[in-house]
Amino acid sequence: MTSWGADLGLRCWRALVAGLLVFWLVFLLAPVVVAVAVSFTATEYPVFPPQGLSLRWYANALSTSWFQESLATSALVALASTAISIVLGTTAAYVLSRRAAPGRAALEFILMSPLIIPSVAIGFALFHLVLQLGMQKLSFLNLVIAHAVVTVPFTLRPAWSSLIGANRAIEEAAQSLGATPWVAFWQVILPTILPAIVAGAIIAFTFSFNDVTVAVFLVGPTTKTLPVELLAQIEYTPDPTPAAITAIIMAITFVFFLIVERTVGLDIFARTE
Amino acid sequence: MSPKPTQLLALLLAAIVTAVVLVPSAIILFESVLSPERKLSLDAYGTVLGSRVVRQATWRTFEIALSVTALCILAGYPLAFAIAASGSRARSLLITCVIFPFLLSAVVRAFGWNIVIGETGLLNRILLGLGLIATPLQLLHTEIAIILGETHLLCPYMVLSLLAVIGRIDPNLEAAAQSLGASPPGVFFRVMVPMTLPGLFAGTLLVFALAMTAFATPWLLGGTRSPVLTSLLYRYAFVSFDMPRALAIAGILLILGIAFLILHRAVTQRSAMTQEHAA
Amino acid sequence: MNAIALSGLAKRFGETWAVRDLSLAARTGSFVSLLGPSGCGKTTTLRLVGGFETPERGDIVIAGVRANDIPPWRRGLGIVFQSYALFPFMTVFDNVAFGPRRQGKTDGLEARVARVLDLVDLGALAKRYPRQLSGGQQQRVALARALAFEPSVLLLDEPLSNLDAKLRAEMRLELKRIQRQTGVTTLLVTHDQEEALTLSDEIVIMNEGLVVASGTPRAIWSQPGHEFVAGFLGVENLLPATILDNSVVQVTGVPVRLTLGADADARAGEALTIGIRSEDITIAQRGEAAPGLRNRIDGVVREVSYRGAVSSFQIATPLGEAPLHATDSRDWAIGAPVTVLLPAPKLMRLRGAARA
Repeated sequence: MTSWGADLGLRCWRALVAGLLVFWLVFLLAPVVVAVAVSFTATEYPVFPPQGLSLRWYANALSTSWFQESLATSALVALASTAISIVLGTTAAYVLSRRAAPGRAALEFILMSPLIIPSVAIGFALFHLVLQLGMQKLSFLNLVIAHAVVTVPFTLRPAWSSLIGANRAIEEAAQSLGATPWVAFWQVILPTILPAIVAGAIIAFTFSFNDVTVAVFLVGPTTKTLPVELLAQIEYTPDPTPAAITAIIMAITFVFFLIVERTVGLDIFARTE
Repeated sequence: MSPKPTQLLALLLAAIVTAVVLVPSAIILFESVLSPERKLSLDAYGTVLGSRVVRQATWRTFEIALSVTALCILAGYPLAFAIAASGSRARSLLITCVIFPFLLSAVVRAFGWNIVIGETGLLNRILLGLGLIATPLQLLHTEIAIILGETHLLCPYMVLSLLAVIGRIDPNLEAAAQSLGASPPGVFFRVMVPMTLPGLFAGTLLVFALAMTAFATPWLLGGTRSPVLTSLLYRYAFVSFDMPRALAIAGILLILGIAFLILHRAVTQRSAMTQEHAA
Repeated sequence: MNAIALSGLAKRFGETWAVRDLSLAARTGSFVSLLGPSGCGKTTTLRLVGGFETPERGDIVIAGVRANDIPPWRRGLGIVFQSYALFPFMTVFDNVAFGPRRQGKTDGLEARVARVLDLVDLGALAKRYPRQLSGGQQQRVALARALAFEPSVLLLDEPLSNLDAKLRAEMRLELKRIQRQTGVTTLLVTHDQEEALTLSDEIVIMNEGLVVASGTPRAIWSQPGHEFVAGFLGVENLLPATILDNSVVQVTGVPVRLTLGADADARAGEALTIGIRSEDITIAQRGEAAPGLRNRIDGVVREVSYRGAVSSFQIATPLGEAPLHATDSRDWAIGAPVTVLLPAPKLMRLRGAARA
């Protein structure tokens, strides 16, 4: 192959790769960009590209009662379930990081099982169980418990990873200086893995806040989360208000994303198992 | 910590997760093979698989899952390699583009997609503008819509699976191949791709499983015109209150989903043997 | 009294015995080194003393009290870990103050911490965080932290191995000074013989979970006693031999006899190994050495390695197939005929394999 031919081939290859990359990036960002764009339209119906620029749909969204209520509900559910999930996940990380005990693999398998069982099945299974136990009225509690347990893998993994990476000798050093295991945990181990716990908490919160698949099976008349409510209301709302709400939710998620990026770094996502 | 309290904690944790996730799932499976007279029977499965609606939905589910997996592979490779090869600034940007949509709620995403593929949406405008079509495509509530939506949802999983293996490739391999005369496409197809096969395999299993069991995206993008298995599950459970059928479909989804995801776990555990060491 | 006494200690991990039947005692105020190759069980021994492992057999006695059932947080031992294990989210001051605070000794805490930091020459850095310190400084903080609560024994797990050569030499002297000043009984684990020789009052050499030799640095250096110890301490020349009488041995398989320092316990017919360091061998021109000298052997230079101040030579001799290793500051060419002298006081009597 002449060097001219090789050069051309190389350029074609490079162009192809670059083109593919651009295509997929556009693909990934299109719905986000479009939804946000539409939310600013001044027209009475969603249109892309937006015609005129106006914040009226945001104002409308913020004053809509179902939005306010479901936003509050989602936030509360997410807060409660995340709190429980952190406790479970951190304890699990501590237990799993102890030196090889029998049944450790089994425990790990059980704790990670929400990742193996499809969420739609978990949602339906819990719905079925709730029905049998007659607990339908307790939808807030049901949702919190469901989210708390389903997000355990998200709070467990970073904490566990951090514990393993952290110098094991630190705990022994604390013990040699007179700290009992209980004291060592609170004064030495916890502060060391705090960033990882925070990252896990944010991921769990985001999951709970945005969850549709499990929530749709467990919500009740008194407990409606934002995504589920939005799902229902989109059909009856012909104006661009849903777009504004969508944009608000995206903004909130983006803030969470930034927090994780600043505190722990994005590598926590780049490590799968 | 002395063994006893730790063991108690372990037991407690296992009990909680088992009670909330494993036991209800087992109950579903169990009840799906019980007849109304509380006797073991596969009648429910028989009825469900005999129904034309269900068979269509099942076929649709598989078709979609296959297409989504193929598209995710096509998306995963350029994105993963671009991330791996980038300096830290570009890398952060790329990871943001991949991960941020990943964190969004399915509702929000589906809404965005509906605008993109709508009659007056971005896609139609581009295609009309480029002269590739004469009249706008009707993509709402079709399988294509679901495929687009699920690919958008799941390609980060593929990217992450690939990144995990790419990270373990010796950076000198590329230089070695080039010094031996391979051109960049040659290096890619002959050296890089084979080395990423474990990640590709794992990613495929994961994406396929998640594509088959996804709920919100196909529900929102497929509507009642193009239901998949999960949509039927919801319909039987909440709309027609047909619990036997719902249980049977849930059973199918459980078995399929668990099978694939366990396979996925087995594949990734084996290749990650070198990493996490038992303390 | 013995600050530490270990008797018959044994520890197993799975199928492997890391420590078997180990006994040693450290007098109060002394500096004892556990020296040996990786895997010999020295770190395990330290961890047993610290309370982080439980022995299968044997007793650990600390300051006269049997400590087997006492958990680490009540043993009152100061430990410096190989990785220092400083608490990253606490300042130097808080790190050092951790021990005294656990003990409830909070009056005069500031003064106590300041005193200990001065001892290790880090007074000015009390407010810094570990990540802001160099390796050498972190090591001193670890030391200060272990000393701050006035432990009965100081345990050091290869504390200098993460430092570069120059820093290591400096810290060795520091360590010695600090130990002298505080008078704390110290148990050091290391694989570096120079470290052990410089710092210790007593060296205990371990191999495969057993104590193979123990004694003062001088004694061990000049008479290792065991073939393994000699090899570990860098004795290059080891010759199998048989005892003829108190002072004479017959080198196995060759018509050469060597004269050693007299040993009243020598039993004729017993097999042993003779060792001599390469730097203790004298090389002379063939025919130049006075004929009356004992342990003269003729040989030919086979290999030369220039090492700056001295050169190493491999000399073929009738003593056996393996060449003799000798060092000299003079230049000897390959093929040069020489006479080597093995001075009797420098010849070592060594027992065989390390397992008793």
